[in-house]
Amino acid sequence: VLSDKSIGPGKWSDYTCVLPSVSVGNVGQLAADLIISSGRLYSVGYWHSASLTPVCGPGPFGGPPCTAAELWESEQRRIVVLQLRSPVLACRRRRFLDEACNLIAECGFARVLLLASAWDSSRREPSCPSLGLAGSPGWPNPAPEGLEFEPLEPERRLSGVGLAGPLFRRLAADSRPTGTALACLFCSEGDNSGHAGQLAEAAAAILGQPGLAPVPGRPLPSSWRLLYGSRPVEGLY
Amino acid sequence: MAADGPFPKRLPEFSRAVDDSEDSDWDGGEDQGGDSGRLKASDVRSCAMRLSPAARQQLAAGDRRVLDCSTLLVGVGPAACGFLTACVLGDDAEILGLISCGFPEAGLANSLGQTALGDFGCFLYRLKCNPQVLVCHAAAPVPPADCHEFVELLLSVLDVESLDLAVLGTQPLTSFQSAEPASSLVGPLLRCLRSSAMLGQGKAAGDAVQQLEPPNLLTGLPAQLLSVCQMRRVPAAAFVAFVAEADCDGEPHRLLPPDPAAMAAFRPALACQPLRYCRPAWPPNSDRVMRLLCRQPGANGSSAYLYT
Repeated sequence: VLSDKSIGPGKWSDYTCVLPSVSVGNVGQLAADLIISSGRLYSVGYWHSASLTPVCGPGPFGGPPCTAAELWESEQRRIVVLQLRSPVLACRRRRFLDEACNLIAECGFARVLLLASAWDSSRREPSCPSLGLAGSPGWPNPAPEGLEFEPLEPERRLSGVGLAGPLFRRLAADSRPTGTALACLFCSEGDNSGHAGQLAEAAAAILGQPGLAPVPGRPLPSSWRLLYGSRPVEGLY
Repeated sequence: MAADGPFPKRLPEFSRAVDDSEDSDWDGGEDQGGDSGRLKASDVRSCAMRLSPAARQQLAAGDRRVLDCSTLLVGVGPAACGFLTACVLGDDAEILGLISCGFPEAGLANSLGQTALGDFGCFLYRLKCNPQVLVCHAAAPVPPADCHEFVELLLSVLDVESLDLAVLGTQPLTSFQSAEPASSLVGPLLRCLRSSAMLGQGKAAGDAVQQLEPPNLLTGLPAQLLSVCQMRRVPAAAFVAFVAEADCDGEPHRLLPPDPAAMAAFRPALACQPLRYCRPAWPPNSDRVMRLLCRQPGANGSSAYLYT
């Protein structure tokens, strides 16, 4: 991790790490952007990994350019978001899992919340809630009162969830962090901005931080501009 | 999905977010290699750098084991490399070394004499008229999996703390995202993305190239270079020209000369940092340009007609 601040062992020992997965419709990553925006997190560094596809672009919230993996922090909320902006290289998935687990262990996070999405067709029943939740033995009941969800068994394989599934199983079996939870939204691909808002709201509820929920009317990140294409040509119809 | 039977197998849904090979049966074990086995595991691929005797001597002589360099210019793709050759490199540049990618063993690299188009080495040159300027030609495609190692190798022989960097590259015009309809876009378009260190030092003041608008992104080697510079606080600028797809850094078998229009797209970058201080020549030497454009297999004496 390359950062302006000193990040030594135990720096984030009582923090929760929010880590999205590249999955169906990029919902986890979009939700992480909403959390960063709503929670007013600030950039504290970058994760320099050889396992991620290289990307670089204008900062989605203004400010410095963005890279493939960035760290955003809120000291007040004791939360760090490790935002991933590009997919894991196909030939380095295992290496990425190792690097992610090592990073989480070195930073000393108390808990990790993984945000992901899975294909709608992988729900057990159409009537089941669209949100699935799984918790490790150290965090067995991540859902707050009143949140509707489908319990996910740790060994259940979900289609489209990306590396969130294997990462959850690795972290759940590890002694550090203390607790790991996986929040997974079942959806299809299309305009997934609404799904991102739904997942961000669920994450805010799980973390007990209502201030992280998306605020209506707040400007969306500039990286969302044209996310689903530009307007059709006038006169086309 | 249907198993064996009389009915055709339903193809798995494809997502822009999820790798095809990341199916639900993968449990974090051995890497499957992706892409139906066409790619081997990352441990097999590597990059290697070979330096000239003069470069090795300079490395050994210094305390910090780095080459003298205050400015590094990197061209990615045929058009960017052609532009740097025509406008910056000159006829008497010294070859310092090369970086080769995709070899099965680390340390195995082409020799410095293998300068043919089909030898996919990325050469590192020093300008004799301005010895503090190094130019790296990454004309050969560098796969995303090799970008990290390529950049680490390249920067390992340089003093990053006293370096200014510019990288030139191309991306398809069709990938440029704009509120305007794609049919109305007229290429080539030139855009620039600068690191915080370059902006912070005021080196970007008055530059002539439009900033890269969100949500457009850099990819490949230019992205890796700028990312590393951003992380390590190196003043750096990436100039990307959105050009017709045929002129982009693409398939390795396309040993074609660069398109003059694509090369000319980079001209406004000559007025920007750090290219401005490399004393580039515009218009470029016409003989040099002709040699560049004629440098293709079978260009000398072969019949231009497929059917005779």
